[in-house]
Amino acid sequence: MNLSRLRVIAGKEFRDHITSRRFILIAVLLLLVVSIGLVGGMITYRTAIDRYAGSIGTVGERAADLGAAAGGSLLDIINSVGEQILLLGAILGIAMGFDLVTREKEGGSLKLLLSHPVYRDEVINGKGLGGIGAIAGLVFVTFAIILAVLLAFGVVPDAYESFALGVLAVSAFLLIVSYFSVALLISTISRTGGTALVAALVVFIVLSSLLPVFVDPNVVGVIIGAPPQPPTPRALSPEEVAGAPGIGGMDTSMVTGAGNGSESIGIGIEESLKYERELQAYEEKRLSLESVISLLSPSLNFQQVMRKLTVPFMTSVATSGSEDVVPGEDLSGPEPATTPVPNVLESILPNLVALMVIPVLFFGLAYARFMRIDIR
Amino acid sequence: MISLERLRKEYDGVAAVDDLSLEIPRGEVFGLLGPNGAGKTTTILMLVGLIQPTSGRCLVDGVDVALEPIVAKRRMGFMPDDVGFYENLTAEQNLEYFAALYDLPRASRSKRIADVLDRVDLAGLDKKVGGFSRGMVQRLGIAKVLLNDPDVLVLDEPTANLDPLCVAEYRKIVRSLRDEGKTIVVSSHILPEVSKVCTSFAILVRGRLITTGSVSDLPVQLAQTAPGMAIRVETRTPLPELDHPAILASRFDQDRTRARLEVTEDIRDWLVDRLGDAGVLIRELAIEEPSLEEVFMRYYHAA
Ligand SMILES: Nc1ncnc2c1ncn2[C@@H]1O[C@H](COP(=O)(O)OP(=O)(O)O)[C@@H](O)[C@H]1O
Ligand SMILES: [Mg+2]
Repeated sequence: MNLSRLRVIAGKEFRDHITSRRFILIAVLLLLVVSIGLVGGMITYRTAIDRYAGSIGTVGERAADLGAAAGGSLLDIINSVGEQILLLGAILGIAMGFDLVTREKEGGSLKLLLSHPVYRDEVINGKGLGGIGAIAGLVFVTFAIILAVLLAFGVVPDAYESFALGVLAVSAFLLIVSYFSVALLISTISRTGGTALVAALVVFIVLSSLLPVFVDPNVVGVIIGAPPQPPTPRALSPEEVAGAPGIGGMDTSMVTGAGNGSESIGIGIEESLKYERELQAYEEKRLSLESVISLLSPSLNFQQVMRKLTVPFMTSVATSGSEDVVPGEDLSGPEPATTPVPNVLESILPNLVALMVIPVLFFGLAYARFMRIDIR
Repeated sequence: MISLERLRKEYDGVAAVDDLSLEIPRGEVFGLLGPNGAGKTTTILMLVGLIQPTSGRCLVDGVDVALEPIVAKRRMGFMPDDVGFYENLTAEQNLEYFAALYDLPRASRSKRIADVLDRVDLAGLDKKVGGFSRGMVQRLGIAKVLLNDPDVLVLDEPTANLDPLCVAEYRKIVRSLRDEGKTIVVSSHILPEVSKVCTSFAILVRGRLITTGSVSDLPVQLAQTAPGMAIRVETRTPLPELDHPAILASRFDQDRTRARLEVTEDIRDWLVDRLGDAGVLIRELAIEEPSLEEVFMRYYHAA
């Protein structure tokens, strides 16, 4: 591989993307949706803050604290930005990649290009890099705009919110790159742009809509079987009844006096423990299946990152009410100092890694396929 | 300049090109002739290093194309049969991309691009290639081929989709390149293409080499390898019986003053003697050679 030729090819691919009508259209749509959502969110957020600040007459409190106090959080807004990126980002990645190779094949430029002193790997790597560059550029612009809007509304994100924004930017980039890599592979396999488009749409639907269905507990149940049934009450021997409180207590062995009192009906400790073990094993199975399925889909990974990033935090907001500033109003704000960034990072790490492994895998496959492609 | 050595390409066990050996000297305009599916494109793609031969090899100026593709590609300019450019770019932008891939010095690049565009009459056109006619794309293809000033030019069916005016323009360009001493390989499925611009040729049918030679020998070659020669005789008095091993069949008029003899070789001298001996006066004696087109058609039908 020759780096200067790689740069020439990647440069052309990059320019092709950022000047293509398709890319510009989706990018503008993405920027519009994100900024409109953001501005809308900011207006409610600010008015809530202003009303709240006005009502309590406090000066000098941080806007974020006030905003949260007023019932909104910047994390909510970050979350909704993520939701908007989810669909359009996937579409953008697919649209950028699905005909990158088929178009050259159909247009007759692939033969021409490869008759020049270039190696095939320079071509496919150049295509990958050019696309990644364009995606990076778009994500950069998107988040520059997000920051600009925040600052324009006088909202300075605190440490955790900055962290969340950063993670959102990285995972948005990886999400689009993932779909781009999948589409690029499809493009190297397909004969024509038409079949590539259909294949890309099918894969897109599977990854973004079908796989999430499999994560639904009911569907998971169908795959790995019904959860274990709790044991049914039966007549217990006096020993069991006598032993019950000593070992398991009332939690595991429910003993009820039946009728005349000489006979007890209930659930034995053995069965009870067995049920608990089974239930636990089932839960583990369900969770591992769920996470395996999730790891396969860029969309699911992205969604999980967003959830883990924003939801636990919001629930903690909801449950850990502390100092009441105004009587009668439950007031609790996010407290950056106590926010467990390392914990969140740890829990989103598998998803971030998956979002990196997916493109590596698909670029690898596209590479292998392109090296062998019959150029006729 | 170019040598193909026992070249073979199989697709699913079937040979598209079979045991093809050719020598093309420097400065030759070589026509690769054959019906559709004969294996011309397959041969050319192996020559320019775009597909790997199943066996055999191609040498360009002593460089094995399969072993040193980058070196070989620097010395060749190739225009595929379905040549296409990037439709979102102008002619100039397309050539800039390819010039960068040839690693032409940046300083001389735009001059070179302007030169080759000028040569094919596409200079100063600020239009995207998407809006080009087929003829313009083909001309741009020729400009592209000239970009790196290669010694060897390979054109696959360059006139296939062109109207007569464009064909004439293309021939003018090829002739001027021939005068510059370039080695040019052109494929075509029609004979006139080869007889108009080429200096030598090979006929390929079903992946096999049928015949090869210089274009000036083409009629002789074709006549020798393909039957179809005839002699027409017209006399004042009835013809005698004619008996010669070269005569395959003979057809006489009712009064036997006219005859058409299908022959394997030119036996006019023998005929004059024979008729003289018999005291028959000749009114007309003419040889009918098949046209190139006819002979060519015969190859096609045989294949
Ligand atoms: N990718 C392929 N797979 C199978 N057969 C092929 C393939 N490409 C070409 N062929 C066969 O090889 C033969 C030669 O084709 P080609 O070289 O394109 O002929 P020409 O250029 O002379 O018209 C044809 O019979 C064609 O069917
Ligand atoms: Mg062909």
